[in-house]
Amino acid sequence: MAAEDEKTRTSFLEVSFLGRLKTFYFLPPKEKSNRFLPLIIAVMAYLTLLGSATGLAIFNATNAWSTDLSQVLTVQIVHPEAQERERQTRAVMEVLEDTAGVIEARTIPENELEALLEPWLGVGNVTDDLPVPAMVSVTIRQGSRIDTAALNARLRVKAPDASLDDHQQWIGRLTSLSNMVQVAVFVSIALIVLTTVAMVVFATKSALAAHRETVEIMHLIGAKDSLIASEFRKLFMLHGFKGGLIGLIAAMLTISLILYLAARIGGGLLPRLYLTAGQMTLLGLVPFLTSLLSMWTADMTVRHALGKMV
Amino acid sequence: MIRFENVGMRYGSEEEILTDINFELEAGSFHFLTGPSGAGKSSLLKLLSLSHRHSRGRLTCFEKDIGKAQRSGLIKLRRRIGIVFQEFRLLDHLTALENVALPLHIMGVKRKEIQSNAEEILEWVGLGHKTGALPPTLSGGEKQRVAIARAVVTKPQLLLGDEPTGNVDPDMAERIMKLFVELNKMGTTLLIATHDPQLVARYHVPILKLHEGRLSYGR
Repeated sequence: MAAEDEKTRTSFLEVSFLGRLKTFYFLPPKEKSNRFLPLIIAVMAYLTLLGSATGLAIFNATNAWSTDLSQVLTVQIVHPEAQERERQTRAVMEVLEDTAGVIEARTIPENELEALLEPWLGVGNVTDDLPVPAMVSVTIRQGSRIDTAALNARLRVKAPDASLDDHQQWIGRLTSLSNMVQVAVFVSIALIVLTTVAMVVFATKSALAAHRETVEIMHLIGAKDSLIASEFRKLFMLHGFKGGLIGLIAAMLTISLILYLAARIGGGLLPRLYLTAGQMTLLGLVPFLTSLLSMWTADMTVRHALGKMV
Repeated sequence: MIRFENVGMRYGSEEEILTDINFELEAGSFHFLTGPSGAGKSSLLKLLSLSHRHSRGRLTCFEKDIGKAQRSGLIKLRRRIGIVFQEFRLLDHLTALENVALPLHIMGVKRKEIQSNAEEILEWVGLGHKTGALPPTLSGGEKQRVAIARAVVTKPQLLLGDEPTGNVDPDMAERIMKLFVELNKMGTTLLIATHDPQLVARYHVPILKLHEGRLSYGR
């Protein structure tokens, strides 16, 4: 038994000196002064991931929506009499066919119009006597600059009840909203990162206080600051990684649930919320980022504290 | 090797704890440092172990003016000094062998050398059979011998003892003192702080007496 114990201790010595991290474990292997730190980092990582995912999903949705809308114009013909509506619609189609930059002009069939109204009015509630305007969807060539004011004026000559909507008002508002959300998300993430740094600073100071005696001995026998800091770096790198991983798993479950629910509600009411594979990979890097942040902060804190020693 | 010229030391803005200290430690010498509690023995040892800086005067250590030395330079100088504390100050989660190996690892010595040197020095202090033992399982005398082994494993030029026999029984104190004498014969400069008059009486070496922060010579 004694020999076995001896063997275990000797192998620890070998691991200590020749471990892959080349770290000498002068701190106790089961360092307990900061056992709650990974949980705190996990919460911070969770909030960061939720914020980032929200920002990215909104960016994707608004980007896709505004790209779609910028290539589509809509002409609306509002007249209570069906015959006159149809006449003006034909006139609109003729004008559009002669307009440069228009790829396609399509009269939206009544059943499609009814389908668009159903989410608001309910299935089967669109009656024949309801004066639904005629709609023409116009697809324009990407990059073509159509003078919508001039086109609207030309349409009005042939079809006085027609009005052209280029969705610019919507796109403008949508872009403003998206930009505002992104700024808010960025500020939130910056605050979370700062809070995490502050937490790690406090935790490192607490670990330094808990192992003050050991650090002093190491310093007295000639250890360089970098060697002493390396042990804390390793410790806090692990704390950061553990916390980041827990936060990532929890956040991914939440994000998946939100995207699933949003997809179910969707159906034309909401733009499609999604994250690209690249964005998901980027979010998957969070545990590495938290470990790097935690490691760097601990290193700076320890070196700063050691710098005060002679 | 060590020279104090009108050295004074104070903590912060408090009164000087050491005043006008003048002495020189020749290479290979052996001195006792005595004085009542609060006389400034620990402060003088802090200056000698380069863990604190003096407030005034000139302190030369290994031909280097400590007042002008950079912090990185002090780290290198500290490796030439061994120190043994009354309360041992071993790392409890490391074995005796690992504790002794610590200074060698810090100096970047190769693993094989670390292992053989640490084992050899533990053998020398009579603890060759306790290499795998953790400090909490060792007696006071054994802990102090591990601490001595750790202090001398790098063959320091100066060895400081801060009441090294204060926490061991008289027989063990004698055994530890014999180790110090042996080290001194091998060329290590020794300064042992103690307030044990019987210990001082048994060894005919010069005494540095501290009283209220001022130093005088004895014997």
